[in-house]
Amino acid sequence: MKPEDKEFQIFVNTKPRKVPGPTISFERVLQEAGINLAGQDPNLYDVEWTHGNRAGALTPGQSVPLENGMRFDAGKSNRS
Amino acid sequence: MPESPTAPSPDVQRLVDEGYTVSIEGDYIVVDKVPYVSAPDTVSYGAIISAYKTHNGIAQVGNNHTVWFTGGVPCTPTGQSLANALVADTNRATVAGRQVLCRLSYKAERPGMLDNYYNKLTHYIRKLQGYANVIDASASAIGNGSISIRQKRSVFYYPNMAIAREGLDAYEEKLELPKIAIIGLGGTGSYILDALAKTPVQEIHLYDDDVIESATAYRMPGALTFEEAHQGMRKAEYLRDLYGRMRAGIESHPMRIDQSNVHELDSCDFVFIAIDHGPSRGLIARHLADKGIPFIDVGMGVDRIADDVKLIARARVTSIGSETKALVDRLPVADDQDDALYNNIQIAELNALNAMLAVILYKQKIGFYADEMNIGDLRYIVAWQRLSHSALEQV
Repeated sequence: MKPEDKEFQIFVNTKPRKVPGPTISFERVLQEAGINLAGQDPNLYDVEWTHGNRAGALTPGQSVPLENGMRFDAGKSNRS
Repeated sequence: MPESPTAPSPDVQRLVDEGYTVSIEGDYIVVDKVPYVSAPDTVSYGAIISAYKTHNGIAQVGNNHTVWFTGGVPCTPTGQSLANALVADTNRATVAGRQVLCRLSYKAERPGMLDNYYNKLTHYIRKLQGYANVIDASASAIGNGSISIRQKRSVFYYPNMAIAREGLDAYEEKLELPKIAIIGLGGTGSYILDALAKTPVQEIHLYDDDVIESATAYRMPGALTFEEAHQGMRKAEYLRDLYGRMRAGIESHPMRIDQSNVHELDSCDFVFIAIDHGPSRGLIARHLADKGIPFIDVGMGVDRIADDVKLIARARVTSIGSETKALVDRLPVADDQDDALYNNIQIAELNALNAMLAVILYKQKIGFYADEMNIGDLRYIVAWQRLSHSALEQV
């Protein structure tokens, strides 16, 4: 196993997950959250991450470098 | 009900009868042509302005000693500044439509200064004119006597006197947009109205075809009676009547916006979209972006963590203007049938937060609050109590 392929310990929607590095995509975060995108418009979902003082967002197709302990929030924001 | 313009109260009439040049500009009273010493051996003229309030046609001074002055800080005849004696504050401001150079707070030794506007204003005029008369005995604020009354039409049925008292009209005026629409009056839309109704926007148009049900009452600001929650009133009409108790200019449109009527929004200066239905969001957002009408779209989501019996939730505010049209393509516009959880759990605090974030961002976009980050998009994640934003150049 190459060093950049090592597993990272993260949290997705509060639940601990182990995922392969070195980056994680919008789509993989949703998969780890138990959301099946098949037949759905990915724009229905938001993915946000935070780690320490840093935070960011992923849009469909985007990825972010993984760090142990990163937290992800994945879900919709379409209700009024 | 709005007060109708009436004859000036007796103290104001006395100023006019004695020959002063008086004007009433909405919440201010102005005496023009007041002589003062502006430099050694130099007499100049300025206007004294006071916040002005009436009750049943009688002017009410309250306990405010201060006035604004359009001249510089007055001096003694030899040119010594009266800044300390008059407790002058030299912040420039626009008050009653005039540029003021200072604010004076000079309390009288004898009582009665605040009994009426005649006493208050002549107290300052005597002080300023007294020094001017040492240089020029004929300098006087007294002339032929005149009054002009310009009632500023307010949308509110009772004035917010704090604004006049502090001379904050230049800030308040930024909120006087002609026309705003709120599309969708669920929890979030009704809280947007709650904040927006208290700003002096001239017209607020409410679009929603839903009727109030008992569950709705758990999402809206305030407390509905049993009858209000059960008699099948349209949300748009109920909210128009509720906020119509304090202000004019709220109009209800109990209908859905679709392709046939979306052009009704063309005359709006700003629009809030607070709806669930994705395809409608897409239709309205694309139409507004094409017309160059700035708008904010809001939305939230809530999900179960079943084994913990806890919820995760998030709120989103997206501001779209001419430079951020591309954000329209990122909005959730798909038809989403999966709404069982959101519809059955009441989280009014998140509706309120989502709405308040939207109204604050709106106030930044119209220049009321500073917007140092040029924010295009806000996300609030409950589990982290974290608010993050994307600046426009990043989105």
